[in-house]
Amino acid sequence: MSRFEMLERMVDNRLFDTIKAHQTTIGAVVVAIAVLIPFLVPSALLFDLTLVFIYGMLAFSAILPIGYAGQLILAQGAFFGVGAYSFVKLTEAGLPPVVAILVATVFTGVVAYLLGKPATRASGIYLGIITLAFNELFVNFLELFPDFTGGSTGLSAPSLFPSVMTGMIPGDVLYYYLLLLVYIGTVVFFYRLLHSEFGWALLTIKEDPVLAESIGIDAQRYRLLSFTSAGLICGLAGGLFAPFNGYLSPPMFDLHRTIDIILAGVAGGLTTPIGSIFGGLIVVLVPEVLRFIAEIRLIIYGVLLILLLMYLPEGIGGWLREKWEQ
Amino acid sequence: MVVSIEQLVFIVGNGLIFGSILALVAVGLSLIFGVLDVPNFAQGEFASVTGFVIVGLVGLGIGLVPSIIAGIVFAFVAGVAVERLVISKFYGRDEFLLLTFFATFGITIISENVLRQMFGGFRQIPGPDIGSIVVAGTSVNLLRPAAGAIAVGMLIGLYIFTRYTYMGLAMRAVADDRRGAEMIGVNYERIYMLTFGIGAVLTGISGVLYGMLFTLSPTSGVALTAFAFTIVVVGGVGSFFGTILASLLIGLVDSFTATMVGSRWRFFAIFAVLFIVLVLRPEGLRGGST
Repeated sequence: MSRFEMLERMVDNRLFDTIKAHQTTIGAVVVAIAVLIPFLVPSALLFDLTLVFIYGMLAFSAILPIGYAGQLILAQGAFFGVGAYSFVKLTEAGLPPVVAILVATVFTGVVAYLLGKPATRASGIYLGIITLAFNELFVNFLELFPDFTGGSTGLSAPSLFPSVMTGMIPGDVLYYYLLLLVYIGTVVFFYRLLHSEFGWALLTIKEDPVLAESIGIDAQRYRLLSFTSAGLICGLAGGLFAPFNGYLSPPMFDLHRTIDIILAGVAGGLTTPIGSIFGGLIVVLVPEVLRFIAEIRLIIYGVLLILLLMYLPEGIGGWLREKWEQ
Repeated sequence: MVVSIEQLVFIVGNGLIFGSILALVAVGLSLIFGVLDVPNFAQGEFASVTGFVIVGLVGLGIGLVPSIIAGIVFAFVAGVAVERLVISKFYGRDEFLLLTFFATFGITIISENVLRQMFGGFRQIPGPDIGSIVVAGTSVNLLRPAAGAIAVGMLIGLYIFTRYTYMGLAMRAVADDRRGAEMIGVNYERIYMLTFGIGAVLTGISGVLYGMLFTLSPTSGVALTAFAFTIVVVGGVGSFFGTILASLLIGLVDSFTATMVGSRWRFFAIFAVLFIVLVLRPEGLRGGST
């Protein structure tokens, strides 16, 4: 071990010891910052931070199927889009926005279920390609039926909050708090779900399907459940994204979006639910930080993606957990 | 919808030529997936990068033939470099399939944007003028059937290579059982490198042909990758003839849709075919048989 590594480890240990010793204080500071952020940052950054929560939610559509059940799903962008577009269509049909979000979520879940029913019979790269094809078909569908979907011009989405509320508190602040709460709810829900029998069943199926079947786990049923849940969470995120962003167009839901969503899961850690916030931060803020080198931004993004996969395969969440447990 | 005989000749001809070019990309992908288990999302990039290298060299005033040779050498080097610099870092890791899938997606992002920076938009490789013939009342540039024939020739060459040469047999041995192959003295690391190189060259050649018949753009690579994945999955992973069959099928569907329905519907038609095949037969048309 080199002197540098020793020093690094020492600093690491000190740092984590300090963090452990002051858990409550640090927790309180984090909560305070999260609550006060809308009053501390300019509105462009507030928009990005709200988007971080959306990506944090979306990360679970990678964590659950890919990290736990071992299913390569590449249709998250399309599910996200189904949720977002159905929100707009439902509000156009006269549904109140809040109800529209719930119906859009359920509808996306149904779409995922109907796709998952035949698709989950396949596994590995086959499942990956079926879902990728579905993603492309969805984007194509949006472009080919402009009368219904607005085509490449897109659709504008109504706001979630009545003007009475936005008159008192700015809309972006409201969206920030709403998504903060929904994100916390999502983390708690998935934390409990993944640490329940359901999560263990999925991990068992991923490790050894034959063993899973032999101890009475209906693998097919669990795969379909995990597939459908991925659809549900993307649908909810989509239903919230539409009014928050105010505008939808097909390229927002293509394969690049899907990869961003999965990247949020991978960067945060595919087996650490809490990591999703770091995944969201990376996916949203890294491209923002790199904006000043506009031309080569995406090239650097590609390099970072590869380096991340090479050196932090467990994601930031996994890395933190490892330090924590030392 | 009435299809005249001229249209039919046009559709089938174009479909078969495009299909055989696609087959080169798909076979490259299938080879790499078969031997290394890497679902190489950057496969199509070997085609676009090779095509653009040739465009660049021809633009510098270098002759077509030396440029093509340089392009193909570049493809081989690029293939080996991808394997050494990126893929090899993931050997022995859990989730190898997933990690390499996303890593190669990263390579695609890099390559696509480097090409965009260097070349901007659409480019074409100026193909040699070898005359034209008249088929069913329409004049056909001989370059098109020649490109198809070259693609078919490459496929036959690959088939002979994998059946009858030491390297080809070693490759198949590693694909079949790495440990077993290692035990009888096959240096699997060299085979991995070579497989990536050969897969890149096959796809690189498809890029040369594609660049002469159609137009190259920085996003051509991703489109070819999508086609190739569709073909490999429709044809059944690991089945050489299934892959060829699926390439021709996809080529024909593409050509028919582009001519009769409208080119906006091309991808829709192809992904619809993929979707239907996979829902009916999750292991592909010729799954199970190799």
